[in-house]
Amino acid sequence: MIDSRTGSVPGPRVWADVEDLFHYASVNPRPSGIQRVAFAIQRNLQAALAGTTRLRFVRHAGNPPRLQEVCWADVENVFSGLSLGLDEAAPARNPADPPPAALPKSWPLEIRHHLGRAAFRMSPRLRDPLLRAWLLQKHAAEEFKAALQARRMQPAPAPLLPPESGPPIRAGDVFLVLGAPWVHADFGALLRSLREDHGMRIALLLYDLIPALRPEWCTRELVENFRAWLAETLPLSDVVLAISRHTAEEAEGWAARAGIRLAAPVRPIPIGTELAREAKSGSPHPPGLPRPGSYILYVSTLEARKNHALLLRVWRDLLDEEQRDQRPSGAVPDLVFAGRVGWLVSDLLQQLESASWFDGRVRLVRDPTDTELRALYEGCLFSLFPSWHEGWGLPVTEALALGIPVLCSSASGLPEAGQTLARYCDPGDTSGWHRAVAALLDDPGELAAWRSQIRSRFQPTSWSATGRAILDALCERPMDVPAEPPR
Amino acid sequence: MTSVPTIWFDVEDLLHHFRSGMTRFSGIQRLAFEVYRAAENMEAGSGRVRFVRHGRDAEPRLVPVTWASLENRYRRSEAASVPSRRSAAAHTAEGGRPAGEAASGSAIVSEDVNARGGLPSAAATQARAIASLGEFGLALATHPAHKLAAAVGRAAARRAAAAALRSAVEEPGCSEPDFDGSAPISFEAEARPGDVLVALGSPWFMADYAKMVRWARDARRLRFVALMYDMVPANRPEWCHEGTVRTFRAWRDSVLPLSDLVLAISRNTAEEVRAWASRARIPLPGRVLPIPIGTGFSIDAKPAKPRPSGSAWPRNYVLFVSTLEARKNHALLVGVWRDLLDEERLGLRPTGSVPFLLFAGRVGWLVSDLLRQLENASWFDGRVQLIPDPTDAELAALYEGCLFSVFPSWHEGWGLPVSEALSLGVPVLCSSAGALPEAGGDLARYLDPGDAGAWRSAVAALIDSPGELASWRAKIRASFRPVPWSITAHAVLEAARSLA
Repeated sequence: MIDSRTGSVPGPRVWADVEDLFHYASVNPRPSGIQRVAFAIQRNLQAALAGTTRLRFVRHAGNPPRLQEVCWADVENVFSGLSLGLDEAAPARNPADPPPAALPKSWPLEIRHHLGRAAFRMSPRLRDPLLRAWLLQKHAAEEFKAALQARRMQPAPAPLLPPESGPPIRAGDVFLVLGAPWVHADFGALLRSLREDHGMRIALLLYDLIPALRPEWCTRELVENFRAWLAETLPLSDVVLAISRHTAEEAEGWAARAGIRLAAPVRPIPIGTELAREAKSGSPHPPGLPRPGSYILYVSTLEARKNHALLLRVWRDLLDEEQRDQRPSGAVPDLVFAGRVGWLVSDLLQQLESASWFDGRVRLVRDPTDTELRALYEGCLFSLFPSWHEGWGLPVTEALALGIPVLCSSASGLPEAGQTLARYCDPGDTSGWHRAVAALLDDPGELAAWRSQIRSRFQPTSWSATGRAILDALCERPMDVPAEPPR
Repeated sequence: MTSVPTIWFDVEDLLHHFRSGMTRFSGIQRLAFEVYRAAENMEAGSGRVRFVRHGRDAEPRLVPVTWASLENRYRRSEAASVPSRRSAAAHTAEGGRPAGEAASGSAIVSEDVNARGGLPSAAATQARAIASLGEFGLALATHPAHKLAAAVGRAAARRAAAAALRSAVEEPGCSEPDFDGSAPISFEAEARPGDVLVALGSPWFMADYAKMVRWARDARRLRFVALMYDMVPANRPEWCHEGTVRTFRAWRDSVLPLSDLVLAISRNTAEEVRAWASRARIPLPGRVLPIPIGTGFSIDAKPAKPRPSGSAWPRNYVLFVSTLEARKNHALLVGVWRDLLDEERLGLRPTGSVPFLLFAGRVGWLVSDLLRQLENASWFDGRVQLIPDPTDAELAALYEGCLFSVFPSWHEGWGLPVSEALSLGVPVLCSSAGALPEAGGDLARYLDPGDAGAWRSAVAALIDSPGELASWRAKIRASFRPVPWSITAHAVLEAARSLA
């Protein structure tokens, strides 16, 4: 805990691992959700501990691994380079994403149709290698492009310091891992060396266990890397933190089944309500967005785990009711998806294409800027979040912070994020969502009451609460921030 | 004028299928053929049931074909569709991955995609692309010409490719002239005013079908009857190819208004046709009439063991027989099984108590992301499996050995897999959507296809109480009454003749 009068911080020195941010920035133009949260925490810790020597930032490399200190300004620069990319760079595909199987949309429909039929009829002996050649060729082209782009963007690598001039680590110092380090080979070797050779303690923040528990939504490579990383890292960690009780329970369950004894129970920490956005309230309404009050909003990357497919079925049923005159014509609001097109959704997009995006009643606002997102939220009737699985739910707390009602999946960590102010439906129950959406459409008074309830009762969580909870955990002192959200 | 009009079945869509070189028939083609056969058997030799194809010239013309030639050609295709003739290597390639997912684009490179990026990785991918192209070339060079022709599909390209390859690759007996089958009679001489032209198949890919119908109606004074299977491409375009949506809608808008009678394979489909006509303010000239549908196709097949190329089927499994496509809702079952296997993993169920889940069917469209998810999850360590392109005999064996079957489809115009399963005494947990409750009657049990939780409970309940399952089975065996295809044919002929 920080003593506000003196600014002195009791407890050990903390070395925050930022290698994965630098690595990530070298191959991606935009920050991931994990990188954004890790950066928000690091920035808060940096601000809280400014003027002390308690917090340092380190990269690591080499075999045996060595640490290299970087200054906070470097970290900020790398991250803001990523954030700038958010608005300026072309929408980028995660290099782990598979190439879309569909033929380029720029080709005439007739040709795509006939080629599709031909491929469908072709013997697998012919089709498979041809299709594979096509996909690999597309992928190779994209890889070349990405590699060349990354070359241009990558900051000149600083030479690593020789071991003798490395940072002065003392026994009892903490190596704090807030990011996504399973991309590094030999991370376990690094942790072992830090513990055994330098007497450091290891602290780790877990976001979710999706690659370990729900491999269907992840590339095989990620699944294998993550599982191996988890099995190696958990036993080496002195403090394991989690972004929700749900993730904490999943981690403990996973460790128990894997026969791993944890040094201490996994500690959930509170998560800040909002990520820093460039958009300010009251900024002029950006042009070209759906008309305010005409739509219901789902802000999320399009990927299978996010369960956009459920909303398509709900909207199909609602539009059917409209067509059968069970609802006045035009009474069903548009469904607006806002986000990046991720992976495992090429079939979903093809379905929308075949259905002419439900005659225009379903829309996708691709790669929205912060300003556009804010305007989209402010103009929506309410928002939806039917995801199958989340470690926490920043989009939910962000919507609530703006006073927007959220019809939310009841799965995983989401009820912790939405507390009593979001309303919940089973992400596997299409009919339940249909009923809930229809009820809100049919009762504008109820929707207004919900809205005002959110506005009057929502209590934001600051990132400094997150930072405090982490420092408390590192000092092995009881947290003064309740992990239990109000029920 | 004779009192009984002749029924002319338009089999052009079937001939188109022969010409395409495809071997496997669609459900629609099989159903239509069963009705042709039953009608022919009922009316053998009377000359009051005849079959016509379209003329090959620009002007509308109908050409009678003989039943014997049609049946002969159909049987040949049927025999050729036994998948064991296909290369076993295609099923077991790439380290014994479950077969079939190869048909989905992105699954093919699931392990090939390198997440690391960078120039060396790009170069490696490029090399693999070239290698795959080489593989394709090799496969092409050793491929029977007519199958290549099938792949290309379109007639012009087909002829060009076949000609080119026939000269390059000698494989005797592999190319076949277009089906002709012309009967030694002429339509012009035989067809009389008041006769009925009946389209039972799927002719909506024919762009100028309405022109043919108008000619038959106005120039030849025939009545016209169409059979509708479902309105999916129009009402649920999200489950279809864009091209199918356009051609179906155009066909519906131009041909149904010309129909003196619209038959439907279920009350549900009849209702959808009526609803469309009323919404579109199109006064249909005649009624929309549901007809009874025969029980199925595979019920006569003798059960067969797994083909040698496939691995053995597990002992303890739940079966879903269906083409893999988005509409069939395989995704729901994947979620249900994931949850059940989670319970097993968490110790809430005894290890191994969750049966295998078997998908039996062709890999269709809009499922590449689903197959990729299964691939990512290693098919839930093999607990979910795919039996691609099963033969009728294999299907019979699969039904015989299953605990029960499931059919969670989002929409069906009827439900042949449901009536087939019941006819074999197999319990069916069935979607309550579309016409499925008509097909399953009171012997199947019904669930909302959008409610994964309900399916999980129902599957778990059946797994947990074998006694209950056995008594359901016994009830099905005791009370299921199969419907022969002659009932369907009789209904079609009666309805068509009533127009005269």
